[in-house]
Amino acid sequence: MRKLIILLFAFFIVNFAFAQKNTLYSCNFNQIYFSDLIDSIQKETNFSIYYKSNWFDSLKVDVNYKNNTPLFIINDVLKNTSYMAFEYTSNQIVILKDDKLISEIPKYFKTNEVDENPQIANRYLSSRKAAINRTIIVGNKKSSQKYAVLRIKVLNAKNDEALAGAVIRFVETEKAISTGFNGQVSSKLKIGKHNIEISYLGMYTVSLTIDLRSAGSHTVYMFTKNIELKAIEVYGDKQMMVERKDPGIEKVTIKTMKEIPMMMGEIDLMKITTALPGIVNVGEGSAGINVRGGNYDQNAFYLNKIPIYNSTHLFGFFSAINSEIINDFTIYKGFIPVKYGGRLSSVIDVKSKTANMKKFSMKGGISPVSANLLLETPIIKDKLSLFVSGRSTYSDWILKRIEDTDISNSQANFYDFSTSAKYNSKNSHVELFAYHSSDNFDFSDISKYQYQNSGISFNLNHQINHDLKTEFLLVQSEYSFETFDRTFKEESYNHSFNINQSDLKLNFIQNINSNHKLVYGYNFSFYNLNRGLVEPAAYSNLLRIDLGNDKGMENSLFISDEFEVINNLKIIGGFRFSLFNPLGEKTVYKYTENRPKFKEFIADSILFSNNQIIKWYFNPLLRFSANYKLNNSGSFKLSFNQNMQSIFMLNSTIAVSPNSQWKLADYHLKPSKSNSFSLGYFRNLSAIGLEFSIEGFYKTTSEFTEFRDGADFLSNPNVESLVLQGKQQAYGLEFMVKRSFRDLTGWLAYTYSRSFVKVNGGTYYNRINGGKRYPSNYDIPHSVNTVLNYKLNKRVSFSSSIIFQSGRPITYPVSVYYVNDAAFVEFSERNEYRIPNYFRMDLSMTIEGNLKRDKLIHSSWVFNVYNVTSRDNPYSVFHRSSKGKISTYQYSVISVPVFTISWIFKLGNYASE
Amino acid sequence: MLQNRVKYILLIVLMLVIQSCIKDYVPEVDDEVGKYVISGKVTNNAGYHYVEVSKSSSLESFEQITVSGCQGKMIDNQGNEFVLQEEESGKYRTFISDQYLAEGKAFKIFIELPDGTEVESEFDTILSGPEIGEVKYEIDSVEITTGGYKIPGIRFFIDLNANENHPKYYKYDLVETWEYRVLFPIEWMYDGVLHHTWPPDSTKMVCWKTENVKEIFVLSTENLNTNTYNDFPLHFVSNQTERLEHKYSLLIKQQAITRKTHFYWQQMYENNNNEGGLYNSQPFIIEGNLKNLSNPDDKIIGYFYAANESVKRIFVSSSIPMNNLGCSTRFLRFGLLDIGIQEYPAYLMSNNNGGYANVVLGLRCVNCLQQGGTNIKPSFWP
Repeated sequence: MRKLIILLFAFFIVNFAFAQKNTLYSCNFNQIYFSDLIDSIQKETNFSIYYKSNWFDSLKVDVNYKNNTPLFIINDVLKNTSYMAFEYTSNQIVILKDDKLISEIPKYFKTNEVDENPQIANRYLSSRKAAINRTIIVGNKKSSQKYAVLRIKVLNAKNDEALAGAVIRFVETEKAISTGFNGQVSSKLKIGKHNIEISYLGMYTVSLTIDLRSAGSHTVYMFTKNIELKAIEVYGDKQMMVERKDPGIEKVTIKTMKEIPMMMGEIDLMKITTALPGIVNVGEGSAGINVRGGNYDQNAFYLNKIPIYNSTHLFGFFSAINSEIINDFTIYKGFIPVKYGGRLSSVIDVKSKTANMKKFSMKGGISPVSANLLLETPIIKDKLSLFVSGRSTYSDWILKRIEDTDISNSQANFYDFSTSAKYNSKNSHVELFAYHSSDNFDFSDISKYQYQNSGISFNLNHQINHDLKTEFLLVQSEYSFETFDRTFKEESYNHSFNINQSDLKLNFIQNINSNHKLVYGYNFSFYNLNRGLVEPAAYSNLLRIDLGNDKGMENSLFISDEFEVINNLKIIGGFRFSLFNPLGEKTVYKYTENRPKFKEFIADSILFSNNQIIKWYFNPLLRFSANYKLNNSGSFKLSFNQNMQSIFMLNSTIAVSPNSQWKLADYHLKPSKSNSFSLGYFRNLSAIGLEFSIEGFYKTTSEFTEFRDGADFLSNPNVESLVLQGKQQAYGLEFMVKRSFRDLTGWLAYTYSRSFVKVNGGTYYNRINGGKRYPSNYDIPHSVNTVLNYKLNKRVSFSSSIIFQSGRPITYPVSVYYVNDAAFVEFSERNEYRIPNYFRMDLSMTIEGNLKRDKLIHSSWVFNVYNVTSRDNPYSVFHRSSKGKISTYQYSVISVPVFTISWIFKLGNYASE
Repeated sequence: MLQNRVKYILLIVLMLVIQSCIKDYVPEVDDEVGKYVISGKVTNNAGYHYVEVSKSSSLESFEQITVSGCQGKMIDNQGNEFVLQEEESGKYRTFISDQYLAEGKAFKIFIELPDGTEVESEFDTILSGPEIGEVKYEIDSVEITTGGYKIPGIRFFIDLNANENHPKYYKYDLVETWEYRVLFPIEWMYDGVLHHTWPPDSTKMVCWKTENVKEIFVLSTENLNTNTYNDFPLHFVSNQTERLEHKYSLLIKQQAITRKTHFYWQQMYENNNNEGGLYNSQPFIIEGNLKNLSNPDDKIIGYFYAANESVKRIFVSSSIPMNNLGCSTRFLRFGLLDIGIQEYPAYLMSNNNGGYANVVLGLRCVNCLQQGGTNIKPSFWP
């Protein structure tokens, strides 16, 4: 309130009159100037009236009132204008234009359903300081029970969107609960008064006193922190509170994403994740991330539950998802909740925003690479809304400048599109979401690559009763690519690949009592994977090779219990039972025992008919996490996870290439399984605004799939001839210090992490690296990331990101030998050496447009410098031996600073969503 | 309140230089030098069959370190032994006559190295092989990666005409021979003492040089419809050397090989032709078929294989413009005193008066033997 008063005094020219005794006023004037009327009122009564003098310069009025209150008179005079007068204190009146002044708390009634009126004018109420807690009466006074269930629903006041994961803290008991996907949570409480605080990432915290009289509910509207929002707010919702945070979970807000300097001004959420501890990427132009020493294909990437098999555009340089549509971005890299399965290392869960339920809005951005636009509109206000977003490149000029002749003589185009319709009713939410992305490269007519991701998801959330909610999901997704290769006339070919995945998920969340929360459900996935035909092009002598079809289904049942054992100890115990069946139609070869699984050793074959089950792979998986709170600011966390994976990427190159095929587990290839263990300590040092965490992990994987030396995945339908299965081992220590809610925010993350592979199938043909353990391609022992943001003022902010990584492992030439007068190089053991360390510093500056409230468009400029120090970071080191001469070279993708300017716009003002 | 009036502006500002780059880099590695390297081959053709023994050298200063003094033999699958004789340092040969070289015969080698280490290869079988196909060439140009410009030259191609009874794996070994000439006969030579040859010796003005082409050519028809291949690209000869200046000859040895041998040479090819781009496959350790019987942990590099070999020779008299390498000379300001010992023997230009001029003739001017060729015309040369 105090702020408001200051504000009012600042904006209004004060008309002041000495206090007089009367509170009622009579008058009769014809064509009197409005200002004269006010003067008269102030003289005759003890009221002071405040307004901006130039508003009514020429207004003349006729007035005739007897013993009316000044407030009534002024409002009567102004009734057909946009002005309105409000009583501020008992003897002060304020005239406002287009706005309302609320000077006291509205009265609440004793009903079962108490809804707060979420009108904009009320924002001052809900963002008040907690000192004067509003008391909300819930239920009937007459109830004689000792306990009652209180249901709280938390909504975003802007668009009525349910806020999942908002934390409701009971001040007296120090207990906290969080809302579910529909923004609701119930708790059984003692009859009486309870002080609660409701908080959510990026929203003003709401403090309330609930006077609980019998079972009932209350809806809380939360307001976005428009002005005080700080740059980095990784923590904030329940999952991210230091004392609550599950081990190994990371969240990044869209706000954070936008402020980290990015290459070519394109926000890439996968790149951003690599600034977090435990996540690395082996270099520019490489798609995919490596989480805690795991392979690229061990991460599940979901966009609104649609699995995305290739999340990048343009060889991994850019993200395939328009950052404007992202609402929530969570990575589970340690403890993976029981409802997720199917990948060994991590789950990346991206949730799109819900379209604005209140009003039309538009946003967009232009960077040197692409332009994007997002439109949101309500169809039925507060019930049904729609968004459409699109992004496209408008030039392939970047490629022209890349000095790799393969790339510079090429064309590249991409676009992505998404749309969502959401319907809200009292207890249900229905969302239909569709996504499509497409990439097209033409390498100077020698080879062409095209790939597409498409998906559609239908999501129904329903609150069955106070304690039970359900989520039903139907998802269909497809990833496909085509390759045209004309490098050698005789061997030119076309190849197309596609994978279809259909998912059905039924999840239940049930609160048994305030100590137990059950999550259980059933998942079904059906995969139809066509490795495709290698089709000879015209004049080609190539054999038509059918790489074959894979079909498979995965059925999973799961249950977990979140259990508050004692006040400070929360454990989650979960069990997931997963059954994977590769399905026919397929001819499976059996090989001579103790021989490599090569064509020449085929001993027998078995034909499986269509949809006949080829194998049964049973996988009972345990998930466990314990969180012990030491005091208010520190906690220990421990987790144990078992995961399985029945789909692999077939890739033998350093970077994930745009034509990397996927493969299901089959008769020969077993699903991979992993056990991972992590232990962490988290502490809030709130006095200096720091959060600190340290977490160690150890992970072993069996049946890890690795390609044979020189494997060619286009030549052979029998993948068992091209890959071997071995063991993977990873361990590490992650350290992070973070500063939030200040002008200078950011984090420092350091990770020590190792990752090794061992493939020893006995005979020479079944070994990699002679059967000895070797570092994986992404074994990056040391990784340091700092992200700093400084907000100079509301309009100008600076941001920097610094990354240091140990060089990735590489197989170097170690000696030279001669055969038939020609020199050849001998290579070291696999990944015995490392390329030089990687270091990069990026800077960005954001200048926001003016802060005027009434404007059509707000825009901002983002200036970005990538690789400020122009360090020549080697991507790979290789040699050429040509005509008996050997030279070694290093290859850098980007060796100069890259300067970009992007322009971002939206409808409305600075604070518009 | 204002939100429904939609108007947006497109505004793009972009400026930057972005580039990837390739530059020289010397990795720091612990040289794993001094490993034994053994390579050898037996073909279906009667005659000498060779085995070479050497040691690996460091990456920075590499050289061929031959190993002499080995004892060894080729052994066929019927127990016949053919003892290897050292022909020159590190190069061993044995004569095998027709009767032992039928298709279906398998061979291996056994070598005892000078330090007593015993090495044995696996058996490899001589398969049937087709007649060598037609060899063609065409004028082509190749981009030099470092400079970005293209240089002209000729590229050879070969056809494979095998049938279903032949193996699907082939290796091509190429031997090139070319004629080159120098401008001057030998007349004046100085090696501390001045020598005068009269009449001038013109026998060393035309020479021939023979070299193995140091590239690997392997072909597999495993994924082809038929056991044939048209225009399999072979070797490229540029105009930057004297090779194409007069007459050039290429001997193509088509070797029908086993799948395993092909696998080995294919790996050798991949490992030694890595362009280092984003999507190149990673190099790896290649395991040959040689076993160290004395110390199984000490790796022996190399491979011994059997091949059904069919050869063809073609001649090329090219008409492409040559990059003129020319003959360079050096003027002696202080006469013979200017000639250093390292230049001996130095050939001097003659003057028109029957004496010598104070001009030293460069490598390409005189005595073609200096460039490593021979002035004895090869028997196959037309």
